[in-house]
Amino acid sequence: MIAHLFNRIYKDFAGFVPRTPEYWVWCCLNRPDVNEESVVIVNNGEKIVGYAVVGKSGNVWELCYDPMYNGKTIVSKLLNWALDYLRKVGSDSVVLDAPVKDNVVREICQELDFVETTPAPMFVSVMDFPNLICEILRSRKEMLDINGVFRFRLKDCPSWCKDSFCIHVGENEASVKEEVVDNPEIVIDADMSTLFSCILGTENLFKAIITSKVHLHPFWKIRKFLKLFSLLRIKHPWFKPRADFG
Amino acid sequence: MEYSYRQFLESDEPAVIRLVKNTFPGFLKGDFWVWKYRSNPDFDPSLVVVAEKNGEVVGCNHWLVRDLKLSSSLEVRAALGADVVVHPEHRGHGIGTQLLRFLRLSRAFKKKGIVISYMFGNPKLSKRFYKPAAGYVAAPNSTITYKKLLNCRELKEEFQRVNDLIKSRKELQTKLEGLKMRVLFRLKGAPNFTINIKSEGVYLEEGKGENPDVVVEGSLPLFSSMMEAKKGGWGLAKAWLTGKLKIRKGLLKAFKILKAFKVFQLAFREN
Repeated sequence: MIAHLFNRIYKDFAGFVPRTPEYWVWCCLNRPDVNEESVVIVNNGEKIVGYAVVGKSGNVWELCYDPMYNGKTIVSKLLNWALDYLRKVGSDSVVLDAPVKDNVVREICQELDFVETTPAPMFVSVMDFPNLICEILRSRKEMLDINGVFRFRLKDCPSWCKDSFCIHVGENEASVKEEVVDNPEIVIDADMSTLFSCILGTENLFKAIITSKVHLHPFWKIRKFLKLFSLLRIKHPWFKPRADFG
Repeated sequence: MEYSYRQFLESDEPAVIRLVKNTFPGFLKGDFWVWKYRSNPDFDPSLVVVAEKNGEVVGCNHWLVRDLKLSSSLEVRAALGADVVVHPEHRGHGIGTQLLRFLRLSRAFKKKGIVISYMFGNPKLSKRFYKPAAGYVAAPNSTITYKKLLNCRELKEEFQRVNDLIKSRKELQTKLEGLKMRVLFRLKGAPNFTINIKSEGVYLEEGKGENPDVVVEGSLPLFSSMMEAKKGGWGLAKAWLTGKLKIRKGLLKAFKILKAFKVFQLAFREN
């Protein structure tokens, strides 16, 4: 139930490991600084509407609440319980992570005299660019209303990554062809990190095109490329729960 | 003899645990390694790499395979790079880079269907280590961390180290001469505390203290950046001008505080 609640609440976020009961038991319950006493659950009848996993180290490894219920009351109860528990066990501090736009947590944290700091930054690297592109396109196959062969030529590519590949898109399907196609519809020349950053949304594609970090051949097919790119772009905000990296 | 790299063997476990514990003594208490790796349902010993010299394990890198969510309808196979450790005496020889590259070059990731890898790291190392070594780029961030100190133990320990250094260094004591004062800090996110500055040393006491000469209001992150010298003199002046830092009492002693903090910053850097 807890794993289900977590996955439902954060379904529109990216950047975390979807919870399975086994994963949750490992990353929260079996953690060396957590025991059954340090997990608090808020129920509404038989339904779990919020919970917090608090470690003796002062880390609130997971805090989750159902906004369909009274979020402010649930978060306030969870955080006050966490503060009392951590004082009791002699912790020096309390640290928790939440999505930036979670105003309920922000408001309660302000009331409880917390300060906002920057979380540990996350870095991502691609192992298999053609498959990444294919998987993204396949996950949006109902929106795949373009046809064509797109050839990617990547610069600054590490030796373990394919630097040239073609993506065939059409009829609600996308597939990778690692061999060179003679007549691709669009050839995209880019350095790998720029293209990946554009997909992640940390770099602006237009800026990359203007500054020649991304080249299109022929350029007049830019509309078709932008349509492809709009499918590739990961638009969900990235939430990195503390339990995933601690 | 050159360094060699290979996949983890069961017999490496004690050496790897020792190396990780020695490198992160404060963080990795108790059975942390056993929980994080051995008890992990996704632990795959073939995804731990060790660096060796003369038969001694001098570095290691652990990878954990998991599904990472990229959108509401997409999860990809990902490898989390966790605990890249190089023995302090062997740093600067490119061991970290080789540890990050070893499984990529051996195609082990590809065989396991891993599409991306990710790690949590130090932003200062991004341009000179993560990106050149393995093409890491910063992930988007929509997460915020909230922090509150329940007591001043950590701060006291830090100031104890500063005090020890000042006591052992005559030139630092000279710099503190004439700066004798008591500064009360009322910071958001921390209990009140007072820093007692004397030429022979400095100590921090929790609570309001008696008759502080200066009262400073601000927030815990601002104080941390003051101590870590992220904010120089201008930074502090800017924080004061923009109201992030307020001096409620003893404004005329502001320059004295700046001077004292320069000494603390020096000591912090050396620590």
